[in-house]
Amino acid sequence: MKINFKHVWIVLKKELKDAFRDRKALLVNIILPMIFIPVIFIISSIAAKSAVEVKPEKTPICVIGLENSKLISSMIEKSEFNIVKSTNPKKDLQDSKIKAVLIIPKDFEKLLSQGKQVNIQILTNEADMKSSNVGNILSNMINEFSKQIVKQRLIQKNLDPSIIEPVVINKENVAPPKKQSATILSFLIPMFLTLWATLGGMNVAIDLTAGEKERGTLEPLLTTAATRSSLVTGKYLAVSIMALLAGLSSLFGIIASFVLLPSVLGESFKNSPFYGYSVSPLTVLIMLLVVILTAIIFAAIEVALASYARSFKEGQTYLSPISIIVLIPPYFTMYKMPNELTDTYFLLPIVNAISVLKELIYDIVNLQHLGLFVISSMVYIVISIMFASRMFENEKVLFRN
Amino acid sequence: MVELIELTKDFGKVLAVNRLSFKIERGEIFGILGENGAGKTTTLRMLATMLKPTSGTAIISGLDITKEPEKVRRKIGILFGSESGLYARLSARENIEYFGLLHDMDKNELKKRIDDLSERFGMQDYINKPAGTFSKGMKQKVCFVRSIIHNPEVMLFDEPTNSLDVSSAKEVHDFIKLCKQEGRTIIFSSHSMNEVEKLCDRVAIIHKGKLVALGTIDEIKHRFTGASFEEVFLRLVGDER
Repeated sequence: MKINFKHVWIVLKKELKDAFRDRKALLVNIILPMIFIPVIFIISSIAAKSAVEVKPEKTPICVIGLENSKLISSMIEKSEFNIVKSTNPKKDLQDSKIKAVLIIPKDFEKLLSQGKQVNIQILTNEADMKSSNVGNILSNMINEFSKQIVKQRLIQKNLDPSIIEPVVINKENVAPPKKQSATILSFLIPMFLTLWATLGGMNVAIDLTAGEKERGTLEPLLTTAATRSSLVTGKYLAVSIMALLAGLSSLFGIIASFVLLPSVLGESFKNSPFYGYSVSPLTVLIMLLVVILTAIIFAAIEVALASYARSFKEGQTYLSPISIIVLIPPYFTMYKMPNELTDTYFLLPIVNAISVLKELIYDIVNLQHLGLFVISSMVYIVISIMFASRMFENEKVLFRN
Repeated sequence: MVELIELTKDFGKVLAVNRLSFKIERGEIFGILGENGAGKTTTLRMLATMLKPTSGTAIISGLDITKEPEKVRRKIGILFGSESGLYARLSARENIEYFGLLHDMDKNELKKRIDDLSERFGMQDYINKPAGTFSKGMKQKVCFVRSIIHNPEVMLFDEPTNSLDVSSAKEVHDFIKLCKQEGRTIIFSSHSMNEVEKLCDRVAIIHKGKLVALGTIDEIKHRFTGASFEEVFLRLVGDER
């Protein structure tokens, strides 16, 4: 394996010049992530808010038997829900035209005055988050109403109302907003970072290997004084740099998201699933390390696989599964809390990067885990570079018929 | 100048080149003639050090292709196929310069040579324009210059006129003649009888990787009195079928 670094530099410079002149690819790989990620965060914040938030005056519900209870009807009026009529309430509920159906029985007031138990039915569509929330609001209202009746009945019988409530539950959510937002961010951020660090070099890798074959430039290139090792090293470095730039762009997109979110969303940012999370310099540094190592590993794998292809199109066929493969580890660790991640998670390819990022988002910097990630990644880098080099130097691969 | 010694390439399932041995003199246009799959491209790829011979070797300008492939590559220039492959986003100058630099040419010397060749081939108007905008003819000229930028002693042409129109094929023929005028040794593969007859000083006819005839066109024709070169070729190849 003879490497002439002067030749490596010539190849690297040419490939980068060529790649930077491909404006469309540059836009998709480098510019898009830094715009796309903040947009995703902002849209998902707004969507999450509108999916959960219930504005009563804008929420249609149907009350069957409203005339059967003055008490309930005045309570509903106070709640400001938009009461609509429906000929087929169940279907309208299923079609999300209305958000809940409240059914008050005919003899409601009579049974209540007799001190008997009355059933009120609330129909909701649990496939619709808003309907589910309206159902909860109505249940709470009726429960409160029910408690008031009980209280009145007990007082009438000269009993202390607290005897029916011997234990009072005070439930408190102690998770700071940052930890709550970490649940979703520990899935999204690792996915964005590893996805672009792998996708960023893909087109360049194909262009520099299979593309050379298709254009007919590979044969003249192989007959220059440069060795194949020098050529593949220069090409590999160019792919790594492009992948790294895409990864950095996604990192920039993530940082920009958390700078932009509060000002774009204003007061409603407090309801965003990302509220409370901030990116510290240490976080950025470790994210950078993850991006660099991921980009370097995948650049070599992509060069190796694309070298086998005979044309750009064939190269795309070989490399496209990579974008699916890198999406699996984020799902693999999605339901794991950071303390459930064993050492093995920090040794497996991609899973190790995802796991380090997951810990990081939960504000955990475990040096042992970080060390395992770096060492295992170094091993993968060596293996992947050897693979790329073997592929590019193999005449059966380069001159495959 | 170029000597093939028992040159063999075995791909496992196919014995593509079978113990080829012949000598090519300096300044000669030497044709390798054969049908598709005869082993012409494999032979030229071995001479260009792209493929390693399974056994045997070749000596180019005193250098063994199996022992000193990097040095051999400094002595050779190639034009493989008729497709003019260039980097579309680079200018003609940048395309040529890239190959010159990879041949370890000095930057100033390289610039001067590109300017000279660009003038000689009438490329001044578009030398600094991106190759993606070029016509087929313009691309062809850039490929010619690229192949001789490092002033090689030996030129390898692999079916350079395949599927080209008449005027483009003539450009290639003129370029081959120019290479000869400049004292380069030319090895030229083709399956066109007329082309070989028109251009080559001597010819090797190969079939299924084996040498079936070697000599000047007249010498080969002489073996079959009264026959045209095409008939001679068919008889030689037919004998082996």
